[in-house]
Amino acid sequence: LKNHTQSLLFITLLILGIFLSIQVKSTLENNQKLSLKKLRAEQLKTELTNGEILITQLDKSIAQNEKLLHNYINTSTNNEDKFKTMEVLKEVNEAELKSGLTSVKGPGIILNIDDAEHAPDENRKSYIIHNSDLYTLLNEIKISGAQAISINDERIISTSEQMCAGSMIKINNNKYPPPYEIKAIGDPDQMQQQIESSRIYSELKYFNIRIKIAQEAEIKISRYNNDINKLTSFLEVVKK
Amino acid sequence: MKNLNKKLAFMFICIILGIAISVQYKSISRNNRFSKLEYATINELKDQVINQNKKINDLNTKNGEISSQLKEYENNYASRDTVINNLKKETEKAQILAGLVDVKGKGIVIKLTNDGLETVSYDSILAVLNELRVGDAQAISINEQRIVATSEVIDAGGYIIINGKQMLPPITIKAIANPDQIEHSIKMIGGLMEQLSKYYYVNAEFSKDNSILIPKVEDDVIKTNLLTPSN
Repeated sequence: LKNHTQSLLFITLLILGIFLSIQVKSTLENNQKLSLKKLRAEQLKTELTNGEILITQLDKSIAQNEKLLHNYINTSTNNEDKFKTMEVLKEVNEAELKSGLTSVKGPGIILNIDDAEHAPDENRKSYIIHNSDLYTLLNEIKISGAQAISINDERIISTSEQMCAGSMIKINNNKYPPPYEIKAIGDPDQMQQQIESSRIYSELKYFNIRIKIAQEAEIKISRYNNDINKLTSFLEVVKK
Repeated sequence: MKNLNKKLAFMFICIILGIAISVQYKSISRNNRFSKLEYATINELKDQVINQNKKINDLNTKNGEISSQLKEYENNYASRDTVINNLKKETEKAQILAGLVDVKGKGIVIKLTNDGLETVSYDSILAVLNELRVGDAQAISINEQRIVATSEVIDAGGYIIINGKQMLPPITIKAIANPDQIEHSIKMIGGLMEQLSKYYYVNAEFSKDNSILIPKVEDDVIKTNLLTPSN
């Protein structure tokens, strides 16, 4: 009997020892993996910050060069020429302003929207933001008289899609995860009222989607920053 | 007495073993969940970096074009007429995007009707618009109203308002786009055509057309009085 108990004790202790060593190893390994991942995430974040700086610089440089170009055209000797070039410049400025190719500022709202924090077991999918939520919300913003709109700094132009891409939404062919920041220039009171009284707003609120609207005296909406040649390749202008 | 001691010791070890197992299990599942989470954020970050690089590339191309133009003018290789002509080309592209000119090209027509009811639901129109944009449509009109960046679709109970104009069915949506690409994406299983009849209870007719004409936007639809250009 004594022998029996001892061997039982031995086996138990053996198992305990094995468990202990597995536990230590697993924790160490995980820590190592985690710190590697953290490092990678940090690297990516730094890359993003640097990219942001580069984009600002490029934006500035393009704007400067465009100004120089326009100035060049403006330096004309005779009046007839001057009149003609003024017309062309006026036309290009108007077209770029109306198409979303110019960065603009003005009064408006900033709407922040994020998935619900928790979801119950039923209808779980209703607690996250879908592409249809975004385009329906955009439609309300347009109804309320918005003159310029962006989502996560993607300027909404006539061809801008909101496409479902798994956990993300594609806008102007670029993928974005939530949260989404929608900026709109227009009458702030009118826009907030229209949005808050809309059906889509109450639906989103019902499913605990986090929406916050803030009015601003001045917001800046940057211009469409992707290649426009791809957007005009399939059609031709009808000359009259 | 001796036996009791042994039993107690044995029980004690079993308790420790039980606790160790539960701690082990919990720790592993927590670690797994945590590393999955980290993995997701890394993927999201990677996607953002890809987006950004694309943007930087586009900006670089644009900047390169403008600076080389500028250099040509500065060195007097190009005349003022060339400058103006280049500018006119840029203007035309911007006018197409803004919807300020009539355009034509290959494309598709979707006709929405709803027999028995006076109107078709506004959200079915929103769904069609978005699907056409996903399919790279370059110009869209609804009942001859050019769809611009700020075009709204209002459900006015009984009729639809687009660009401030009232509309009743049939709602005819035209788009200039690659007809085959659009046809494939909207006719696929679970695609737009199926959604229209199943979820929106709308009849939809689809046709391809080699020559679609889309009119320019009417005056006063695009408002810019609150916008100040800024850089």
